[in-house]
Amino acid sequence: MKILPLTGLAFLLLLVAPPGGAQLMTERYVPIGESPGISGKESTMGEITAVDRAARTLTVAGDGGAREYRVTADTHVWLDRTRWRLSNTDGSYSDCEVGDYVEVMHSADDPAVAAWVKVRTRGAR
Amino acid sequence: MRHLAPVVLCTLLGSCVSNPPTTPADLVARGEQLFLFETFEGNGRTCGSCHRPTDNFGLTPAFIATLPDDDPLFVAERVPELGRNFENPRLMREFALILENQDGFGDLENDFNMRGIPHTLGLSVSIASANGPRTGWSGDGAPGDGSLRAFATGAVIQHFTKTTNRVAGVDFRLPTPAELDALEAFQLSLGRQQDIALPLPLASVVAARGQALFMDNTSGKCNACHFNAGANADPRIFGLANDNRNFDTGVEALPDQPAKLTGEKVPPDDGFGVPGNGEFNTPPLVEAADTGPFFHNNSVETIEGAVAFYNGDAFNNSPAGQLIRGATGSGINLDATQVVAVAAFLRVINVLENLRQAEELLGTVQDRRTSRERGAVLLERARAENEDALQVLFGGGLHAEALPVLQEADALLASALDAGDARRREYARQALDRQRAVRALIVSR
Repeated sequence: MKILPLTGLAFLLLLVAPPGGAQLMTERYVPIGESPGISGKESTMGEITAVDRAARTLTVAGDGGAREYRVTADTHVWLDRTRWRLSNTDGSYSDCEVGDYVEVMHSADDPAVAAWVKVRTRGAR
Repeated sequence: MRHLAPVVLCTLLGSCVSNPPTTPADLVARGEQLFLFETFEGNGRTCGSCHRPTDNFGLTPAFIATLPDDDPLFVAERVPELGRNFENPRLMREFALILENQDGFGDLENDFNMRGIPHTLGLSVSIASANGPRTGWSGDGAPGDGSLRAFATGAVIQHFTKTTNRVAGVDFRLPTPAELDALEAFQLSLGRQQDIALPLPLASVVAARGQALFMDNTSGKCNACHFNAGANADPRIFGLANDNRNFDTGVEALPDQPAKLTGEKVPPDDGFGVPGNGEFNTPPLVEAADTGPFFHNNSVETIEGAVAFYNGDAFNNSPAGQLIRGATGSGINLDATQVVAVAAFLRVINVLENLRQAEELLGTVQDRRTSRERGAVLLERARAENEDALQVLFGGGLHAEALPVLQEADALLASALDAGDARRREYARQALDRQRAVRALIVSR
């Protein structure tokens, strides 16, 4: 029984183990407020009350109060066009404007960083 | 008469189906109804369109060949809106491959993968990991929090849509939180609820030798990642109990993959994450022998071939193969007799699970509280388990003495399906006796 040599293997694998197992890209097609296990639990939903373009932040007035998130190059921004009966699309930080209704999911590594933002578009843009 | 009041109320409201379940059993029953019959206002498919109860809650080419052309599975062949970039009908019919856009829906023409349909048995013991739940072939099959509960939401968006626009409320409706709860409960109820404990006292000398090789970390080395032939890694090596891990085992590097031989477009599958890291999730092996073809791309047809894969260059040159070589000083190198022995072991434990499931199903059939309609559904599943046991043993040249006994059991189950209540229960009891006799032939006391 060569169990001991394989403990070295285990250590190596633990080091390279990837984080979390959610399928991020399907999230784009899940409307605001309907992400299972996320909406109403982990994410913040509400209107954007402030946008600081220089700092790349946005502030959301959610049920638990105002929260500021930093939008990084890794943050996915999606435009939720469900209520216009259109397919949701990729967006960008520049699509986030004061008054927009959004859902923001924080990063697993840093709760002040947005992992993704869904923006409810005001028109069929 | 007070018990009639809810019935009257339900009739008036027309909403009994959506009443919240009150017990775990109710929740499972509600989940089963949703799994098998709910289309979520989409293209007509249900979860059961691909995860067939009588095909081990998966789907094989042989089963697909029995389906009529108007089956919802083949919706891409009939609906113009789904004629492009939704499925590949040839690869579906020939190899049971389903089109998946796990890296996103941005480039439907080029960014997709063709994957097999994993069974949904034993999920309660095969998806937990230190990094969160692992669902689907690459462990990242669910949106939201990545849980099994969330899986149905992603499945509806991917597979149930009426068009490739995938607009919620137009092309489908998403499952409600209550529906997700029920679907999760049903899926968790399927198959084994605990891992087996190896070694088993197997009567077949070949299967027993295969078990020894399987568990030997100097030769087969299988038990390190498939502890007790399950989906979890050996806690004595990896340090964590019930840890379902991802590995890059090099399946994508296999030459002559059947789907690619057709000339159809089959892009490389990068596995877990976006972009993928090449890793795929470890499946349980107890249920393997009757749920081929094997691996995420259905690239190997037989269980013997799946075992032999770990002898080849694709595995031994892969990151997982290299780690094993580094830790033990050698790759995996089994001779043909040893490959067959390990496969024989996997066949035998699969049959033991077939018999366990059949016993569970037939136990419910014999319960006088089980309705005739429900009994018929369970009998069909028990008969499918019996048929699988027969085929798995026959295909491996194992336990020839058990085959006529399983054939008797099959005949009894067929009779039970046509019989009245009392005779049905009696036929079920007799079939169960035969199956218990087969178990006694496989496991020596």
